[in-house]
Parts: sequence; structure tokens; C-alpha cells
Amino acid sequence: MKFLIPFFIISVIAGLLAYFSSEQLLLGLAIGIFYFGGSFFLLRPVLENYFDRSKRQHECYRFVHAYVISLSANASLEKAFFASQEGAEGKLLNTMESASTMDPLEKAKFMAGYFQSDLYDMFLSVLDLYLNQGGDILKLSGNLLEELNRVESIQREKEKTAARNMVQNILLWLLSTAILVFLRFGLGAFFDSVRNTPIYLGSVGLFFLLMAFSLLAFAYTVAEPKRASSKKKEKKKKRKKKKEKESDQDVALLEEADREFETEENHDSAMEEIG
Amino acid sequence: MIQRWKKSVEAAGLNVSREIAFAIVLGTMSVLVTVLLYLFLGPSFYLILPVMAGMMAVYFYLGRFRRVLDRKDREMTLEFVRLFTFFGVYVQDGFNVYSALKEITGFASEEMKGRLEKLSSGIEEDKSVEPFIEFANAFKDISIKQVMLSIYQMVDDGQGGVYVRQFERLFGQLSEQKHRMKVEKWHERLKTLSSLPLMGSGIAIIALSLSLTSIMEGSLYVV
Repeated sequence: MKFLIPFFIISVIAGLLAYFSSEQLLLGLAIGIFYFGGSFFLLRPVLENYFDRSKRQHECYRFVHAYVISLSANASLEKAFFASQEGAEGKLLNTMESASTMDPLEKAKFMAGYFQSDLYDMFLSVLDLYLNQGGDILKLSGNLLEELNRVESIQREKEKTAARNMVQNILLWLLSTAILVFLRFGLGAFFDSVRNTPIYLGSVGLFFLLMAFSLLAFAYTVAEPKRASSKKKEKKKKRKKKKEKESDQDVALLEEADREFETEENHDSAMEEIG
Repeated sequence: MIQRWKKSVEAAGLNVSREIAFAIVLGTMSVLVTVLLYLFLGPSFYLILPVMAGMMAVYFYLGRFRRVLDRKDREMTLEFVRLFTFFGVYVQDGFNVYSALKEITGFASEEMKGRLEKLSSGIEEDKSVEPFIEFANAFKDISIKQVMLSIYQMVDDGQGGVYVRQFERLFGQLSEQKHRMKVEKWHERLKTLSSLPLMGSGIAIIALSLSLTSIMEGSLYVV
């Protein structure tokens, strides 16, 4: 709900500009309501998802770097987790605190659910390798850290470019709207004969629709949300993995039960022999 | 030509009947708008606008399989770069080619997983370069074939050998190129969006010109 006030302000401004350009109250109201509805239902989820994803990506970068550096210095997973907790806030801090009762390796694996990143999963593989084989964690995770650095620097560059382009776009739209509003005040009495023509009203409506489309297209281009079809495929993949895991667990339980039964049988036959 | 179009649409994973149905809907909508305009304005130059818009929409829509195929190819190439970055990490950490391929399968999409599993089973059965070439043939980019050949050469090379360094060099170049292209494409899309405010100004000016023209036409008749 943090975008509610900015969306409301944008909708009011758009409605007022539409009214000033056309002197039609209904058109101004319709444009204002359209902007508010569109931004609340279409723009808000995209922006929230983008900012959340971006934040988690930056946090993942800092977490992995701090963890690896601490681990290379102390060779302790607990101390590494504690070191990567420094500077954490908000959801990240809450997630890390909720893992406080787990053992050190489980804590690191638990964070995979928060970061939801292939690079973090890769980091966990490297951590497993380090725990099984030993060696220098810095050397083992060298390529991974390089990839993390590359992803982080690209993300930062994109954020700067997006902010710059957003300012440019807003200025261009303000200038275009200024042209429209100027026509209304510049033409004077002539405007009175133009303002009620369907062509003029339709064009003002089209202008504001184009502006709304431009804002939405900009948000979608910057946020790069995952397509609905790929989300469905991912959900299917997760469900399949869950089923396989459950069936593996069932198989493991059955095998354990078989082993226990065998042990009991052996014990009984041994007791019989002694008897 | 129609058969070729149908095959291309199916190759893009689209449904031919659905594409044709939607194109018919677009055409029907443009005809309806034309009829409504005729009823509202009578015979007018503006009637040509919905007809042209409808024709362009149908042409654009029926040609979208090319864009879908291009997008699929781009996504697959980017996925290859992502997965084989991880492959490089595993190889550097002492995994052999076969084990590293098995590990990266966990990070792959369903389609790529199938291809990687086919490659892994191909490596088990056939010690030649064929499984690697077959894998690379799924991609348009020839650099991927070179990377797969270097991976084949790595099979007996072990860690830190000449062929591992060759793989790192070839893959590094490919990865750099693809990441740069992805960012450049993103920049281009943003630049394209910057033209929309200019279109808006154009609409304002054209609207004013048309309104003034229609008023002047009306006042001429009065005179």
C-alpha cells in the first residue's frame, strides 16, 4: 500500500490536466478514475514486485560476500552467518532471526527461501563442497563471486539508467501536456468553438490514454516481470519436485521399516538359537 | 506458402486455429468500427483509418510467430549462458564434465533439463563428439557449438588443463557478448518509449488542426 498516495496524486493531476485542456468535467473525472484504477491494479503489483526483487538481489550479494569473507577468516559457519547479519534490516533481519534456532548449515540453506536466486543456490552447492572436501572457500567460490559482482554491477547500472530515463520521460510528457494546456489558454475565444468538437475531445482522451500506456510500458520495461506462462511452468515444476520429494520420503520410510523388520527378525532368530 | 506459415507457427509453439480465429476477430472489429463511423459521419475520408488499422493489426498479429521464435531462441541462449556459468564454477572446483553437467541440471528449465539429460546419457553411451554437437544444434549461435566442442575436449583433460582454459576463454567471450546484447536491447526499448511523448504532442497538434479545419469548413458553408 506504499504507492497509494503517489498514485492518487498522479491521478488527480492527470484529471485536472484533462479538465484544463477540455473544460469537460466528466472527461477530467473519467481520466482521473482511469489513472487511479490502472495504477492501482496494473502498476502497483509490478512496481512492488520489482522493488522487492531488486532489494533481495542486493541483499543476496552483500550476504554471500560477507559470509564467504568471514568463513575464510574464521572457518566457522556460525560466525559467518552472524557476520552476514550485520547491516541487515526489515524482512531480511526477520528471516535471519527466525532461523536462529537452526544449526549453522541449515541457517544458510533456510535463506534460500528468502533470496530465491539461482546464484544463492549455487553458493549453497559451493558451501556443501567446502564442507565435504575442505579447501580454501575463497578459491572455491572465486568464479561465483565474480558472477555475483557482474550481476550486481549490471543491476546498479540499470537502476541508474531507469531513474534517468524516468526523469526524461516525465519532463517530455509535461512539455507535451503544456502544449495541450497552452492551446486552451492561447487560442482564447477560438477555443470555445473547438472544445466541444468530438475530434478535439477524442484527441484529448487519446492523449491521456497514450500517456497512461507510456507510463505502464516504462514500468514493465524496467521491472521485467516474469511472464504468466513462465510462472505457471515454474509452479508446475515446483509441484512436480514436491511430489517426487514426497514419494522419495515414502520410499525412504518403507525402506527403513523393512530394515527394522529385518533387524527384529534377526534378533528373534538369534534369541531362538540362544534359547 | 500457407503450409510453410502453419509449420512456422507450430514451431513457435502457437496454435494455428487460435491465431487464425484471433486474426478474424481483429478484422471483424475493424469492419464494425468502419460501419459505426459510416453511420455516425456518413461517407468520409476517416472511414479508411479503421480499415488500414485493421489490416495492419492482422498482418502484425499473423507475423508474430517470428518474434516468438526469436524470443525463444534468445531466452534459450541466455539460459545456456547462465547454466554454463555454473558449469564453469563446478569445473573450477574439481568436478569432471559429466558430474558438472549433472549438477547444473538442477538449475535448468524443463526444456533445457531434457536436453541436458539427453546430453548426459549420450556421453555415457557414446564417447564421441556427437552428443555435444546434437546439444549445440538446438541453438542458432555458432559460438555455442565452439563452446560445446571445447567441453568435449575437456572430458579427458581434467582440472586446470589446456582445454579447460580454452573453454573459459571461449565461454567468457560468449557470456560477455550475450550479457552486453541483453543490456543494449533493454536500453533500446527504453529509448523507443521516449518517442511516445512526442507522439502525444503530435496528437495534440493534429487534433487542433482537424478541429480548426472542420470549424472553418462549417463557417465557409454559412458564408
